[in-house]
Amino acid sequence: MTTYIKSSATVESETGSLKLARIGWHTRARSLTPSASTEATGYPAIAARNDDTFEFWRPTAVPAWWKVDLGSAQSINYCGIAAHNFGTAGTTVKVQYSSNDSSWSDASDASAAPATAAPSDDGEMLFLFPAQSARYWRIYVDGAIPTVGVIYLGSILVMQRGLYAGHSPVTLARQSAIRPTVSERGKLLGRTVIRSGLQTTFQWDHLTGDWYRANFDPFVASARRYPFFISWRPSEFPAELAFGSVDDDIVPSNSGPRNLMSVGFRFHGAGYA
Amino acid sequence: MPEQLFGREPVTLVEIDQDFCSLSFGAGACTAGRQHSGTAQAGAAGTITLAADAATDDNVYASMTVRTTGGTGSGQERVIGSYVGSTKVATVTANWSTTPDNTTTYDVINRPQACFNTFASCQDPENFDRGSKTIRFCKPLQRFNPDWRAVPSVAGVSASPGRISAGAQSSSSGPLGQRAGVTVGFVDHPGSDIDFDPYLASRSYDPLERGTFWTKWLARNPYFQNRPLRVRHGYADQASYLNAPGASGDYASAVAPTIAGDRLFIAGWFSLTDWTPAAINRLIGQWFTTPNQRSYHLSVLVAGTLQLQVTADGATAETYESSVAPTVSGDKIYLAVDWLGDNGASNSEARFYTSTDGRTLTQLGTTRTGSVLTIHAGTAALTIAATNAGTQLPMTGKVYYAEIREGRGNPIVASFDPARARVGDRTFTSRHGQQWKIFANAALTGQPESWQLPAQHYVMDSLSGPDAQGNVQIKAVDVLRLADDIRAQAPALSTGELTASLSDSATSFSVTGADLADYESAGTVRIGDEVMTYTTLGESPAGTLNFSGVTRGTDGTTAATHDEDEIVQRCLRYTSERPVDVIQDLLENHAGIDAELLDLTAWSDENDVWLIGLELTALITEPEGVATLIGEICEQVLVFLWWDDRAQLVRLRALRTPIEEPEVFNESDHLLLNSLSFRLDPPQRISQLWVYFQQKNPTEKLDEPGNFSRARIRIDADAEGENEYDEQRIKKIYSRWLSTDAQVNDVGTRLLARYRDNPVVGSMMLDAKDRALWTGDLVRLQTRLFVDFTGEQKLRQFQVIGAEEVTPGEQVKYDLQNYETQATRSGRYTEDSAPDYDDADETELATLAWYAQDDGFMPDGEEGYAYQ
Repeated sequence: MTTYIKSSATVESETGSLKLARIGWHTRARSLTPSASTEATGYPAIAARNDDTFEFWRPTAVPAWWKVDLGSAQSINYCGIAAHNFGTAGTTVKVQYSSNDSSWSDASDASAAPATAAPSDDGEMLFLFPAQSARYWRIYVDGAIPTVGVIYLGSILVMQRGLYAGHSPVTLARQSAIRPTVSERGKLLGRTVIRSGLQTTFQWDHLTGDWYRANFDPFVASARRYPFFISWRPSEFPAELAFGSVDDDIVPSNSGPRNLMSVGFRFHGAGYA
Repeated sequence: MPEQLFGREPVTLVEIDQDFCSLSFGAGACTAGRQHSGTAQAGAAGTITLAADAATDDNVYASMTVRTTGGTGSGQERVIGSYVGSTKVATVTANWSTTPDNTTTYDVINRPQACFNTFASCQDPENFDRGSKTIRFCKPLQRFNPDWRAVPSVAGVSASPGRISAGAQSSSSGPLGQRAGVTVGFVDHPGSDIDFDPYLASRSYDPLERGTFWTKWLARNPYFQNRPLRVRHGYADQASYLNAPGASGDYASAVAPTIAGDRLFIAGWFSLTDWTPAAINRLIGQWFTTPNQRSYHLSVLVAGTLQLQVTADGATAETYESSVAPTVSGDKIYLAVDWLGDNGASNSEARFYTSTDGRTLTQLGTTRTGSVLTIHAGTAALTIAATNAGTQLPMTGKVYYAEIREGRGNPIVASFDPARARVGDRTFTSRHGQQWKIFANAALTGQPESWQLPAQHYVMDSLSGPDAQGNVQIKAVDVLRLADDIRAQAPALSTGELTASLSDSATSFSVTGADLADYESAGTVRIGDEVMTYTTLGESPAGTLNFSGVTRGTDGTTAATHDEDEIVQRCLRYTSERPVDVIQDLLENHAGIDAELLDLTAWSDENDVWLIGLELTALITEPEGVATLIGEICEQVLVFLWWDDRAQLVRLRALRTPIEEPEVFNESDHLLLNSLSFRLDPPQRISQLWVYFQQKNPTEKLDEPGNFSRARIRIDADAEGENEYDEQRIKKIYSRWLSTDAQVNDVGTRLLARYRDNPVVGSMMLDAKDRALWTGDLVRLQTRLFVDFTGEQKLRQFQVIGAEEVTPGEQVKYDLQNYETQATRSGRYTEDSAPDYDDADETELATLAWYAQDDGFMPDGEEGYAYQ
């Protein structure tokens, strides 16, 4: 088993090729009512369950936890966190699970790497770990009171093929308009930057038809409504991770006599970047 | 606001103050949703046994809320998970903090069916307690401070600037000018109801699956009109506060203002790491121990109380300590101290204050007295977070804002406003001109709070959408819209009717259909075409109003008989009142504009310098539009009003020469490329002014020359001559307000001086770095478009009659009208006590006037004064 911590943004502990893209679209928390150790006024626990990045859970003291009761033991192998301020605040965070809501275990291989992340920035986070089946799951924070906008807990989608050359890593694909103002005599008076977020395209070819239908199409159905996490090459660039959404339906194409599939989509990262 | 130049990223925040009931559903005065009330029979950690008369059906109270209202454990709320009708035991979903017992009184409230704390959704309207809740929106991809709790759904903000109508002369706008407005576009989206539904946890549905944000908001808030809307603009990397780590040398410093001596007001937003610190924390002061350059400082003592020290000689400190410590809830608190050097009994007084909003001050403890009567005008720097050049008693915490005044209510003489700086800046200039430097490990940091972003203030007027694409638009306008004729009439229409016919000589009569408050206790009324005054108003037990001491046929009207049921209209009479007082009365009492929004102190100052002798007298005998009435006054005394959307004040200024010398803007450093445009506006030019005044009969038409006793005509013959414009341009004024020759002459002279030549109107654009310039300001332009006879550039002076941030934080467009007088110096009649010319100071030279020598020049060779 490989335990993998590459940066403040990704804490990974799992087997398999980490060169393949990960898509964190599945979350078991979406339909549930989460609870928290404490909630600041206007910052309820349920805000972190929702998919928007402008409503937040904020505890009133640390250590603190944010918890969901899945009703029965369910398998989880990743946790995505977005719209947080762990880095700015100086918060440490870890993912825990429990079968009885009282005895908690860290969701990682603690023998190989620490389960606790201490992010240095406020970028999206993806915890990848061996699948665990448990009824209760929680995010445990300490160090400083954080603000957390989005928490996903579910099964990660591991892409069947790698991305080909030409891909623009999403966190490097900043979009902005730059507008200078010039005086009547030609003097440069100011320069304004209007950010339009992150935008890139993902494209995969040679996906087997069965794999696509069984694994990718559920993501396509979800992506019509909900945002998702995506990391294009977690092994080498774990920090190049974004939470965002697609603008259009994702439509695959059959690419040959062996019924292989090609699929791609344009992705917009959420928030200020 | 920090006026950044390069790499700036504008941010926009839109705030709406929606009505929001201060009560909690089913609690206190709100009786809605109460299903059952009583005294508990017993309680346990997770249960409460309801009264014997509680419902007998199992689970009938499930999902409802039980709220303890008295006795043991009062003030708790829990959701009922299950209920057993036979035993009356309700099991709550979370254990009690204090277990109820048989003394506990309670209410069972149906919270799943609760309101949304708005009037439209209220289930107990009689007890609706209207408060306000600020909701915020921002643009989706801009930097976002989670503390704003803003919804990133703003698609665009488009402002339409207000436009001044100087002296109500503009032909393109109404007498009060053009109303400023803003249109905010939103994109609709699912709404989680977080922060909008106080009872969200009790609902049985997922709000994200029901309706959309705006459809729900509109259903809950149909009465949004006239509620405040603010548009705030800032920059992404704007700082919020000074972080002071608490070590020696960690502080901010600037050259201190000179405090005149016997008044001092210090205030600001402060956040201390420990409000009962281990050592004194000096917040702000001008205090340097060696060599004896102490003046004042405000500090927090180890007990948490506030301390003000002042000294008269720079060495001997006198201490004032608040009798209690401030109660700090949340991250920071607004603290203030007002020091009065002499309270009239040869004692000084210090009053400490706290505030939750920075405006409404609550005195902290009792007034403290001392014997020092003046403050030493020392040379020490003004320092934040420590004194003695940063070495003495440094504070540990944050300073969001601080200001110094020469007494409460006086203008700010120094301010510390980190939101004008970028994160990490080591120097910045405050709004009031102080050059602040940051030392050692103190730092400007944080994300600005919403109140630190400068705002433009409006009231909501209309909302369209959401349409099929989810687009929503809210239009908002400035508050002067409330004075529009369609919304405000003065006097209000009276509903009282004569109870019986009235002879032409009766001196008393009775009225029904009205309340006592509908008429003045003694005043003037109109019945038909007759105006009459009365001295006494009473009310009979049956509710009939009795007018007595009636003088018939006053104000140029004739006594006549009147029929039963004729309307008795209350009249509005002004007698020798200052123009600003009449305008205030009309706006405040007849248009319902809050006096807080009227810049009354400045109005009064303007009146008493520039409108002396223009006291107004008028009788208004039937409802007329407030905007029309104020427009008449603006036209006839030559003042103009406009809404200052940044200061949230209605400004007033007389049409007069400027006292101050306006800033020069040129083509090199200010005017944006291809943004200048000017034209002449002949329709505004005037060569003759005809003023009809001394109205004969206020019940007859105002624009009928025969209804006035006097008329004066003033002609600028030169302007009409063939060497100049070679035509007459006649303006007629029918004045119910002016009553003397002197007033009419004054107005005529000023109006012709201003409008004898074709006004020049135009527009220009500036970079946001210059956006301090705003509506009403004067500016001098140096451009190749304005030259003298030889072609050399010459300065021309303009007034900003409209301003708009066309791209907020980036470019500002200004509408301009020339503001030039015939002479370079003008003044006003002065009191006998005014100094001689040679002894006058600069302000007096600018605002007063002296007769010139025979050669037209003053003794010092300066040009003589002209009557304007």
